[in-house]
Amino acid sequence: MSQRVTVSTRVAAEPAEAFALFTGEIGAWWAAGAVRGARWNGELRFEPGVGGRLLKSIGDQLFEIGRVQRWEPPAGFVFECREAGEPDGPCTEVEVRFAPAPGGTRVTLEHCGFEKLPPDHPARGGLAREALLRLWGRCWTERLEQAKRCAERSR
Amino acid sequence: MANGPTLIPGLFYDDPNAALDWLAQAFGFELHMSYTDEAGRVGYAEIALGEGVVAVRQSRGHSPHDLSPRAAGSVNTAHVAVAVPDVDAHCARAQRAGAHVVEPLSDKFYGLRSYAVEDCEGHRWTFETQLAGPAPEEKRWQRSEKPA
Repeated sequence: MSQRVTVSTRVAAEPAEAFALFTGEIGAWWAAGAVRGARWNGELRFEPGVGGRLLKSIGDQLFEIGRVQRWEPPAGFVFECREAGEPDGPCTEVEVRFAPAPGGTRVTLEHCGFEKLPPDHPARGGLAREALLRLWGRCWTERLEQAKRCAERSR
Repeated sequence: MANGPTLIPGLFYDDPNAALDWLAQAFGFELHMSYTDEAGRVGYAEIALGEGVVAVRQSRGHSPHDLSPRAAGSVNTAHVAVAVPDVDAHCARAQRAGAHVVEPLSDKFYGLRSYAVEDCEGHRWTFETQLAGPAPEEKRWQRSEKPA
């Protein structure tokens, strides 16, 4: 078991459409969550398939956030998540699952591995465990709601 | 809910994991957000039914003021009412899951059909649906208004 945050929503789109949007348009929904009140900058994109990179670019600089560990369209995908610019830093893991549900797809996102972040790690923002998980819960909720809006707008 | 709900009432449970399973099965709630520690224990969760959201909170380990009715002699200091599209079907579902109905389904004079039920730790809930026709009290009033 691992410290984890789970968020879930229902999207009015088929699982395959939702998978394509969540992976292909990741930059459009990721920016919605404001962790620690930080202003988001840069752009995000996935290299599809296992071993592909989740890349963040800020101007001319390119950072690897993590690698894709599982890629099973339309059921889901898993990727590693590190601080940009910390290739050897502690790594958490994000899994997104897509399941058929009445009216479309139930999308469930699970972010686990927070216990791997040392107490002074910047991703903790100086917060105790519970406050940190709560904050990430809010962040992912906002991101998922933004993804839902993107998916439903593009139909 | 572009920016999320503006009000999220929270209920305290001794066993939030079991409560989440129970509330999903008996009442049809869907998980919206949760966080879990290394031992797999849920510390906090938000669950949704229709447009409404309620928080499932851990009763132990924070404050002696945070009690589940189970640990407080079944006392409730709050009551949650939830509008559902078909209260008869909802009641049947809850009963199938073993919920303890404390006030059976009935049409109320104020225009709702509702029932009251205890959840797995003794929180009391009312589920209700707006009646399509006039409420019983309105019918009586209409009758008494008829000219002799």
